[in-house]
Amino acid sequence: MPRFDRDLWRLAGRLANQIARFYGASSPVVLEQALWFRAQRMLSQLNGLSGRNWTAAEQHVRRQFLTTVKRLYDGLGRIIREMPAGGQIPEPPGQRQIYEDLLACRDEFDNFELDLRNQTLSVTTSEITLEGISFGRFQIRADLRSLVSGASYQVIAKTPNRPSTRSDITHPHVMDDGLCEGDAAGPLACAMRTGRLCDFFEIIQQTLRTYNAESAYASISAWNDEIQCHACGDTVPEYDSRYCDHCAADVCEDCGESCPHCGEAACGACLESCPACEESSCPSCLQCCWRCGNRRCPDCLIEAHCEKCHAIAFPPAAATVSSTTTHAASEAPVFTDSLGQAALPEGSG
Amino acid sequence: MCRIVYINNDGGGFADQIEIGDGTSVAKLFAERVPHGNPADYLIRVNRQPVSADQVLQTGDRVSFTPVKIEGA
Repeated sequence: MPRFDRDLWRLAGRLANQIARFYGASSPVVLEQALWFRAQRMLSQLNGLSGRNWTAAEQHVRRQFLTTVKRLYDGLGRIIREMPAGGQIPEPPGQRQIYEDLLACRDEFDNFELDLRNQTLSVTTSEITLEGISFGRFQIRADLRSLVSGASYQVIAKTPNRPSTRSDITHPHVMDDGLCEGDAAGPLACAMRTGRLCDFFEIIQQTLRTYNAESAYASISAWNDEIQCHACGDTVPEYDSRYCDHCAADVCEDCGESCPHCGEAACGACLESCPACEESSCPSCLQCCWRCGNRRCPDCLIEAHCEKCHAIAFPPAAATVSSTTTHAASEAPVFTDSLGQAALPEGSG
Repeated sequence: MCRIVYINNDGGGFADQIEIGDGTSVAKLFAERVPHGNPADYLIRVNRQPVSADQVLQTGDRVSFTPVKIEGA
């Protein structure tokens, strides 16, 4: 029987009150809207890549799209199976239940720290290693004042291992001590609604132990000073890479280009053909015709108009003078052996 | 029938009391609740302790399934 911990008991009481305040307003079922919006974005990307012959990028997006759709499908199936019968909302967790969870948390994790002055609760994960690269241990520091309402917490690297070009990233999914939750968002919110702090910390730890190559702040290859070309998929040294100013993707030298008009770096996927001259142009340089809205590169846009609209808006000026006498005089022969002669119009003098 | 606390930390997350048949094992509950899942891909605990797949669940047990792989973004 563990010794009674008064501080944890009081904390459990506070958390129980916080949870009870939010309980009646929330449903135990979570519809994963973020996944739906992600699928929509990917479908739009996939349609944009179609026909461009960017095989690696298209395969990458297709895989992401199918994975996301499968997760949506599984999630909806789970709701159908697990929706409480009669729509009953379960009872909120009591103080004892939360207290026992805090004790379990203290046993499960190293460096369990309750800081009453700063109102934080922290645990330290085990060593995190992804694809042979060690990221060390992370402290998960939860803000107790907003844990239930907004789950405010930090994920702080104890011995930071950062890629050479990103001082703000300590893990592929951690930037500025913030975890990009992805699939963890739903379970984390559910854990906090039901006062399961041990599960809360465990879910974060499992997320840190998982590398999602499809969506990371920085690819694992960045820790090897390499980049994976966003267009063709090849892994190249960072010094051989280029950066697209438009989509912020890293591409290899072969796939990197620049806009011939403004000189900005761009990947092939971001450069578009001018409909008139078919030359490449970045999205910023392709401007719309003031009259019809068709896009043209700077070389094909004439006074803010496309060529067709310019001809309509600014027709060529007609000739103002036409004299038959002038015409006849110009055709009269001039005798070159008599100086001072000039052809005179017929009928004159 | 017996009543247990069932927690699934997958997808959107789920935590509630459910009723199961007498003699339901952990493996049977997993197969019913996570039909497309592989137990090896989950941390499966009863009353916060790792257990064997054939452990029979009792009234008041707290069962949790947490995916080993949870993908961040």
